[in-house]
Amino acid sequence: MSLSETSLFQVAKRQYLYKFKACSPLLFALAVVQVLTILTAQGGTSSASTGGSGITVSVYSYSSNLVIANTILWAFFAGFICTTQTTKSIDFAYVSNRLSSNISSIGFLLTAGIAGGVLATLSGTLIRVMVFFKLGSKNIAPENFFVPPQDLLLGCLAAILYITLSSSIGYFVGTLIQVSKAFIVLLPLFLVLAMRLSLGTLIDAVTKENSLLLFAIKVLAISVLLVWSSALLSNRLEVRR
Amino acid sequence: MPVIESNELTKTYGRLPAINNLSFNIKENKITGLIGRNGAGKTTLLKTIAGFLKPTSGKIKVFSENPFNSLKVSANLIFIDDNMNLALPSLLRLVDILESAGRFYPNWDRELATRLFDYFDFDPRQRHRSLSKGMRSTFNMIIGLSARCALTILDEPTTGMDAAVRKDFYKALLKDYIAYPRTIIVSSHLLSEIEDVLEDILLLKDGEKCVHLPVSELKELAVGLRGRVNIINELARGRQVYYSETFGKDSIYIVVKNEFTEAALQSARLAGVEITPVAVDDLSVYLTARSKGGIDNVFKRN
Amino acid sequence: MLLNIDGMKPIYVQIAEWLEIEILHGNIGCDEKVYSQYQLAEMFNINPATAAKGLSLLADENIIYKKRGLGMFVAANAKELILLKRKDQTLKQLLFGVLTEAERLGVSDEELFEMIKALRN
Repeated sequence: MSLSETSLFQVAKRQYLYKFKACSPLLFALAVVQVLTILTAQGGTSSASTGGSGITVSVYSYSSNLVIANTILWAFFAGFICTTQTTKSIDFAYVSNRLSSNISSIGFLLTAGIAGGVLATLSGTLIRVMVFFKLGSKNIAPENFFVPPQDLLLGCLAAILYITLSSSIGYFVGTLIQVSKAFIVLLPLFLVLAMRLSLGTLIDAVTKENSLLLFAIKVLAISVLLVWSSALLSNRLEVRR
Repeated sequence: MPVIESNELTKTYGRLPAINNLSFNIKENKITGLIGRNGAGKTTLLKTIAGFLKPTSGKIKVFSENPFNSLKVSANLIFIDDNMNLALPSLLRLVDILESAGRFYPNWDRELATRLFDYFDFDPRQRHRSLSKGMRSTFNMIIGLSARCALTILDEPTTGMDAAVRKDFYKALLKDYIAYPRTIIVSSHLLSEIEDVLEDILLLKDGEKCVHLPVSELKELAVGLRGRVNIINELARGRQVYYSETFGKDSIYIVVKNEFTEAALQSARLAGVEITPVAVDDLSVYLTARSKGGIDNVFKRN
Repeated sequence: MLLNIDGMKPIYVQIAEWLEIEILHGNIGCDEKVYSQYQLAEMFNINPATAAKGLSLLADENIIYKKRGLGMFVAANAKELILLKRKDQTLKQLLFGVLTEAERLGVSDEELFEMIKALRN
């Protein structure tokens, strides 16, 4: 029997497409997270009340921030789950090597992340519509109700970048734990230590950026670094044990 | 060029070697049975061949390449075990699983998969996790056969199957192998059922190679002798005895390596010795027995 | 052929013997093509290599011969060879079994002849 030839690109592409069927629970979870957040955001994402002499003024804020935040959280877990034995087993049931498995996982996370980011940003519009019908235009402050398209786009891109960063971190953390279970203990310790030392300043250095382009470059550089290291580390791991 | 070359292969978990210094070759287009007791190292060996596990020492080559991380090996190999429920998405419908599998393998025979699927009365809308153990094995077998991979590895493929389905499985395996020859390795506990389908047997004992022979040679490797103790002991002198069991007043049954001449056997018959062939599955048991005495000793109370 | 008596003959031997009977009965004539190893494998649900062993057994005894690229064919004198072989080996070995048992029971040759005559009637 003559042997079939195949290329990394072909295999990675097939796996990437397969992942949308195989990891559908993850996508379903994303939808659930976003829908639930939208519904619970009906109470307002933040509120403030002041009052005195018989008058109370309550201000409720509504935004897509919560949806975006939860999507970022989802992205972390999605990245983590893509490194577990179960997901790897799904890849290795058919044709795969560790590199193709990594590439297809990352591609999947990126695609799902972009979709999640777009939907999360648009959820802001949905929330506004729902609040409009609930409270009526009289009770809504007109500033910021209508979001100009360029701001929407900017917000969308920023959301996508945060989501990408989050899933890269999740992927890296998951890979570390696959390499050694000791990291389950070590990483939280490291986190606590970092918070005491300078994690705050580090986060500011990355996120407090006025230029979207610079921010994008930083995020992408960090994500690529994390994902690259994950691929290198996972290259010697065993599967389907 | 052998399809699988193993050279002093060792795989250790902690301190215990699951495979120990294992060297063998498997040639192209043979059906080899991988036999051994539980814990003999069969699954570890198969997963190392498939490139899932990494050897601790020694070399393994599949299609002349290191199977770990090789796309070439993975593209021409399919590994089916009774843990496929972990490797197949539990929420996908069975038809979707078959379709997805088909996309990965250029030799996938869609018609065969569909026909086998219908023959075994699967419901296309079922999910993989809701199948019974036997149905799961049957479904996994359909994937394994339809993929038509140059190297097909089946680890305990008949787990949970009832006798009728097992018979169908052996027939299906044989028929498809005859029509589309490829290298097949099957590990099974039911050696007596599967021995007619096999060409070679690789018998493992405690992670080491016990025997690697064609089935026909293994059948003639040993012979069973039954008779009076003194006569049998005389015959057994200087020969390799694989098993012995006493019964009655002074009768004994031994399984001994068959190095007798025709004449020697004839004279043994005349002396009242009963000569019987040894079934391959019995022989495997004897060859891989631990030396703690048989289970009869557990029940001896004096 | 050490394991012929006492049942459980190796499969390839059983294949060879079945083919011999087919030839004796004339189901496969002289210079006719014998079943291939693959056909035998399908018929008896066995590995083709085992079937091939049965065929080479017959080939070694010149009951069948190989035509390059075409397969195995029945030899011209196959019938005679088979009859001879069965008389010589099979029948002899069966007789040996009888004689062994007779020896065990202390039955004389004359008694055996009487038994044969009785069975014939």
